[in-house]
Amino acid sequence: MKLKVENVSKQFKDKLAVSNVSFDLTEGVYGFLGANGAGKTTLMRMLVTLLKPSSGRILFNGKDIDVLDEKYRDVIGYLPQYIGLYKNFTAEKYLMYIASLKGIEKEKAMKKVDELLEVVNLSEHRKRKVGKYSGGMKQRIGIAQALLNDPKVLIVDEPTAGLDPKERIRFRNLLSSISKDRIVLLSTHIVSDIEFIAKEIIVIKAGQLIHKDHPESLLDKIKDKVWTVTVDENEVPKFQAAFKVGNIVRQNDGVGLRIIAEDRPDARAIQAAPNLEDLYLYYFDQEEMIK
Amino acid sequence: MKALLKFELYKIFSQKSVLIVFALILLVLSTLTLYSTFSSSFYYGKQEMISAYKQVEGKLSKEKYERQEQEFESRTKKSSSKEDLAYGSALIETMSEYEDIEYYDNLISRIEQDLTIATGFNYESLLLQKLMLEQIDLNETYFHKGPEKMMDYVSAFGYMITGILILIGLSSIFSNEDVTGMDQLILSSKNGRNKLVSAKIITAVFFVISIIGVQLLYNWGIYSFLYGNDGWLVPLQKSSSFMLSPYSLNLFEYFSIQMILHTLFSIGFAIFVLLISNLCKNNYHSIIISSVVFVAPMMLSFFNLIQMSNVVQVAKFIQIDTIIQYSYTYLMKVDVLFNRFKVFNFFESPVLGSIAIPTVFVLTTLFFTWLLYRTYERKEVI
Repeated sequence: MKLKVENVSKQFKDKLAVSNVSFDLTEGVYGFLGANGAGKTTLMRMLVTLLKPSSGRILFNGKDIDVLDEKYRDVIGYLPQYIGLYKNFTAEKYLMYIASLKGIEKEKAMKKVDELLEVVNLSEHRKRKVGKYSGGMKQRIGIAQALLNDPKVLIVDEPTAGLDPKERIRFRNLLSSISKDRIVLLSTHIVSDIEFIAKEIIVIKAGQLIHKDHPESLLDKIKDKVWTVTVDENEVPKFQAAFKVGNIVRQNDGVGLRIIAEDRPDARAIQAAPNLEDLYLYYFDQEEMIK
Repeated sequence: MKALLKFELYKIFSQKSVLIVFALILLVLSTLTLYSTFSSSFYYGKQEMISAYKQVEGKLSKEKYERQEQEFESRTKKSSSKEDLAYGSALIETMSEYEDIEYYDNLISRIEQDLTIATGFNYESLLLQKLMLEQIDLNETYFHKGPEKMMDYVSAFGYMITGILILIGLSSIFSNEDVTGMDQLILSSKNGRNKLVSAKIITAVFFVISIIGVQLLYNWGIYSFLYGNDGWLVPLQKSSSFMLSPYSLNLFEYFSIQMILHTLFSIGFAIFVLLISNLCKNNYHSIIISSVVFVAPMMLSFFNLIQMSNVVQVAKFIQIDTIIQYSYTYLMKVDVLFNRFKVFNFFESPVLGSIAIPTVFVLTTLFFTWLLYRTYERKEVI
């Protein structure tokens, strides 16, 4: 199974949201990293046929998804960043409706709905109207709807937003367990969501593909660029102004800073093993992260 | 598809606003109809009117007309009981119906004269009109108030109620998916494009048929109660709105055609509303645009009627009559297609308006349906 993005661009009036992006996806989890406005959502929307590329094409097992049309949509599952709901539908009715949109037969749909409500821990609330759900519950029902058709290609945009840590771990494990024979593309700002489960990380910046590689390889690229240093509290603003500063930890002997810099930022600084958060910081300005 | 259809129906029929507005309209209309009928000096009671008509109905002839005229004069001088008034009213009506026969005979004679000088399309049109008029037999009359009122209901209230409910019920059918964010899930799912459009169209058709069906029952119920259910077989021309109609139809035939065409035009309007809803990302925009299309012909007609000078100037410039005549609003009344002789020149052959207009309308609706599929198929979520 292969999903191929081939020289894809998307232009919105005078803005080039995605610029000539190409990559291949096979079975496994892919983490999609990029700041807000980088083009992640646009690219994901093209992958789920919500947008058509201005140029380039997307192929699923060698065939253009535009030509495959509903045959392609039959194998995808999508969780958008902001889940759409009918507030007056109960969870059960909502999932049955999505099942009908996905063309799942009633008997099969009923079984699948039961199963997924259990998986996302909403069985007890199945008769409640989704309009009365909390943010986390809405996100969980969103995850359930994406999985209804056992998608071969699962595309999830910020799936863990609004979930508590326990639910996040549960979701992460779920994705990991189902990724064996399907393509999972997961966009997130929470890098720990993909740190342990992503087969590859796709980094996108200003609509362009920066990197697509195994996490270890990506981390290897910044292995000599991550530093830790303990400084006085009054020195912190100076470091923040001059470098990309990650974690700031108050310690007994001062303030511990994690800094991403090409060269040693200070004589006291020592090199540290990079993680995905460092990678994120390395590629994206802090302003972009805050946006 | 069946499951999808079921959910689309649920989404439409669970809108409380539609049910409340429908119930309120029927309640207000019933109150007004019953009040205005019972307080009218021309309503003498169902049985009284039927009995009075029984005395005058049947074959119309010159002798009968003259006898009735004398009877009417003597009767109106001496008494004013309810039965007498009903009888007097029935006499007046049948006398005027006898005069209509003369009018038709004169009209046919006039057409025969015109035919001697007409050529080409005009000749064909006049010939067609003459042939149609010759088919009409106005020589008998029967009490037909019930069916006549039921026919009038569609062109007086029915079109408006159907239109309002279509606007309330269907304006948000697509735009609401954008508003709720459901469009992202729908458009990325297997059946979320063409099959969903089909399901929504079928739902809209079912919705239109349902509201027309309920109104048909209501219409039949209230006017049967007030005037009875007799007279379906009298000629269409016995109804005052169709005095000039060239169509040889009885009231039952016309009413059947009227209901079919009313349903057809309403479905056409519903498809238009769906198309607008699909093109709008906001429920308010959708309902406003569709409402303007529905209400504008009525407003233009009103301005035309009160002869507002500046409006009339503009109206003349934009061919107001054409807009009004072929608007969804007026076509849904149906009567405009049958109340007078109207033909179109189709390669020098006359085509009746009652055939040409619905044909063009169906083609337009098919185009809008295609456009709906096409735009939805290519719809993007930005």
